[in-house]
Amino acid sequence: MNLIITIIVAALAIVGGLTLLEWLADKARVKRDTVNPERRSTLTSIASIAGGALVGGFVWYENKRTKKTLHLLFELELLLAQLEGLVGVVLAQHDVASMLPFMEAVVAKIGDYGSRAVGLMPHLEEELSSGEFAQLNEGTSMIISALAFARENPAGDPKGQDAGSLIKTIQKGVEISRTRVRELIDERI
Amino acid sequence: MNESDIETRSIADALYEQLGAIVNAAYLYGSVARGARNAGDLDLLLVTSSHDHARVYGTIGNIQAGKTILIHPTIINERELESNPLFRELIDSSITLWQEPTPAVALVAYQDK
Repeated sequence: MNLIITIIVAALAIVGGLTLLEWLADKARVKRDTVNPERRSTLTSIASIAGGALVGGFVWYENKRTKKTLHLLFELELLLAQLEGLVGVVLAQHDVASMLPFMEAVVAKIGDYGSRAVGLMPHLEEELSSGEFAQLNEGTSMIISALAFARENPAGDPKGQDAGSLIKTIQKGVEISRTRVRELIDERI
Repeated sequence: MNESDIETRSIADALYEQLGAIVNAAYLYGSVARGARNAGDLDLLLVTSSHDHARVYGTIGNIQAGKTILIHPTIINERELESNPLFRELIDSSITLWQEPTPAVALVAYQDK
């Protein structure tokens, strides 16, 4: 329905534009061509409908795409806020073990380490420009990779990166991502 | 009222007492708000204009000590609440713990529930 309305509005705008051009041509006394008025009217209608379909279709598609992108960004903002809460409590309590399953559940909805088919990030990659996605991905990849490392290397691992520093990496990633996702939302509303 | 409800109520009281001054509004959402018994975590949505989130987390960490249910706070600011419909959806299905400008009334409303 919205598509039809957008096409009609665009077609009417084109008719208006063409009428204005004709009026200006009359006013400027530009010499008319030899096309008879009936034929001119038919051609104007065809041009308006075709132009309206093109412009209206494009506007409708862009609008739909923006709405979809915004919804994905809203979802990501919610997940990041929830994750920040979990990380904040973990750092306050120094207790990673109890919160790790909750963090994993939230991060799984954002994305998965080594997979481009899980979570919100692959969808956002399709919708955002490469520059926008790269900036957003800087923070989320910190979160995803740190959590994957924490999962695969439990406390006391000889690699030496303790749980506390991994949680701080996740916190930094959340901070970067939350700031960036808010900027992307503000640019679209 | 079972033990879980008593614990939730005592957490809500402690939160208001210790964070009421810097958190403008607090909502309980998720399984506990839907009336689930023996829920594993307590989902809170806190709206604040303060940037000192560490203080809020520190206070929640202290309140958490000795409790069986895990407190899971989500902190947002007014701007995020206004512009993100998903936060408003959470609030629509939540229990208000307190909300400016009449926090005491809202807290009583939760306690009566």
